[in-house]
Amino acid sequence: MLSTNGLTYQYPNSTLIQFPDLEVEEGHALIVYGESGCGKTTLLHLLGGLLQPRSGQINIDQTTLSEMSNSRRDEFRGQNIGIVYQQFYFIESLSIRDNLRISPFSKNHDRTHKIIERLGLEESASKYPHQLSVGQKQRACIARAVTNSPKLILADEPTSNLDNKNCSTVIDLLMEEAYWNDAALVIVTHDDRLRSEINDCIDLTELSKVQN
Amino acid sequence: MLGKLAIKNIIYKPLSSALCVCLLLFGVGIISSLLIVQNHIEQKFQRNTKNVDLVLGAKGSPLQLVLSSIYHLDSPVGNISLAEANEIMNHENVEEAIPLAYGDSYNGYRILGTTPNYVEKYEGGVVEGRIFSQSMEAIIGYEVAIKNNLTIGQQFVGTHGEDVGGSVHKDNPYTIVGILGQTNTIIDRLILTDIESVWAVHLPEDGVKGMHDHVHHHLHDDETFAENHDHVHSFDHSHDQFHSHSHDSDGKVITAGSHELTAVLLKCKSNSSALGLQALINQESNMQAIIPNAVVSRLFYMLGMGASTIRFIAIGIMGLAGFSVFFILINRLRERKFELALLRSVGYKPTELFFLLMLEGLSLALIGYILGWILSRVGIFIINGQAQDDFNLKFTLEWVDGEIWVLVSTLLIGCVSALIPAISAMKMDISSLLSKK
Repeated sequence: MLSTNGLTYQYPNSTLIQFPDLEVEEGHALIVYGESGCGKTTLLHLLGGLLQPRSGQINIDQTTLSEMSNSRRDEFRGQNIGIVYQQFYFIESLSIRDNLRISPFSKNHDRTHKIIERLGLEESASKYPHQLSVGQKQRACIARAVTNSPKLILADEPTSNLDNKNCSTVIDLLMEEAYWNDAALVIVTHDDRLRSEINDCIDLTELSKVQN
Repeated sequence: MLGKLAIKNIIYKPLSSALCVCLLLFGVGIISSLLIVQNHIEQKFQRNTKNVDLVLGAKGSPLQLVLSSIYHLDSPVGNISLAEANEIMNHENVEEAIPLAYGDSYNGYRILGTTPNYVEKYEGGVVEGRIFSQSMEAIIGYEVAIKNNLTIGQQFVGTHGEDVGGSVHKDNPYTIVGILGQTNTIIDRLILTDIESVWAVHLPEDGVKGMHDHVHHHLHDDETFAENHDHVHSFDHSHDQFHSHSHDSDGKVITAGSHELTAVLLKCKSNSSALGLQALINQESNMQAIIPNAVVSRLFYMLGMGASTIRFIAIGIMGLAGFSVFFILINRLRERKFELALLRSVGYKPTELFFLLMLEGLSLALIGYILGWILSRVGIFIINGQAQDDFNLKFTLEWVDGEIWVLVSTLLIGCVSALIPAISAMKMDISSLLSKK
């Protein structure tokens, strides 16, 4: 489903980052573990097509993301990749229900409704983002990531602000959604608690940084 | 979804949106009202000058002559003698000549001695009764009939001069024989009679205050008269005193005495014959001839300067509104950059974000325009309530020609002020925004 090959990225005036190759099957999860600043989020943004790698390939479901044009990549991301960000981003002026339908590729409102039910967001659906609790926001963000039946779900530090109980709830939720959607799940985190939850793990802490 | 998002975004920050809209609204409101008023007045003035190539009258202010003889807005300059006027009226260049003799007034409405041609000139027609044919018969304009509740067969007496409540010519009542249909021209506000009736009311026997002047004039032999005439000419403000009734107190009230006319409306055979005749009259007679369209154009030019000052202020307000739309959109962009990055992340293209912000700018402009348009109409409606009684002006509430340009420029302001925010939305680095901790 998802595989990468010789992926590198370089920020302007900075060192070259070389990422290890990844491979995740559909319905499976991978943890990318690493301390802050080691390039976890960069990797996630590369996988999500928000950044373009300096070299290397990203393949999602027989499609090579890294070879697409910018606008094709935007479109592909909208259709096939759901991203849960570290911060809870919402369109403040829209209700939660509309936030879940915000994608230009969101056509199936039945599906949105089912996701709202499954994630226990019925009461929050007609509320506005600022009226939600942290837990509700977290769930709403996960819901938005899966409304378009993505092939790949990416999560950036989804548990960093949560206590142990909520931590496992959120991970279970993500795993469940990956399973339901038959999607590959990649979680980047520095949260040690997740090591016990998911077996497949890549550690970026020892990531080789090569001076350009 | 983008349309809904644009509208929701505008509603989400009601105060800043209201500020944009208010500034646009006042700009649009002022400009639209100005357009209506200006268009209306110009049309009204032009309707009244049609078919009048030259106005013949006593020497004095050309503007006053035109205003008094065509629009009946000002007091007449003075009177001219019938004999002199006849020479011009029978000139070969003249196609049609309509003499006007100013009579008294009734409830503030001018009694005007003229010929039936005057009614035809304004395409008026008698809707009830008939046109005047004998002495002391009168036809009344549409508005005169409505406002004074006058009907055919009724008699009324003129009040000397134009003031309501002046001395009354009670021995010489007019009989109403006809009522004119509405023409939206000046004749709606006039009482028309034949010239002889105006003269008859002011014969020396009528015993009013001006009698002395008349007696004086009629009794003096030519030599004495000439002397007096010269004397009078040296004082311009009391010009033609001996030919007309004149209140001692204000000297403003001029009505035609016997064998006098106040003005003649001339239609010439061609434009060049009109110019030739004008030169002839102005150089070789005691009278003056004025091309009313030239005077009206000059008047509008002068009025236009005042109107353009207000227009500049309104354009300034619009410009300010443009800037405020710009600043508000830029500020909102700063607050909303994460939202816009999120939109990119769920699949919107940069061009779609550009479109979203343009749409917001345009919507603000459109709302401002619509409310401004409504404001102008409400304003005009209120003005109409007063102007109709005071100045016989009723402005249209409908769409006016120049307004399409107000709409276009308002939308343009919306576009231009949204342009820079929209471009920066298109260019932003979503990855760095979305990785902020």
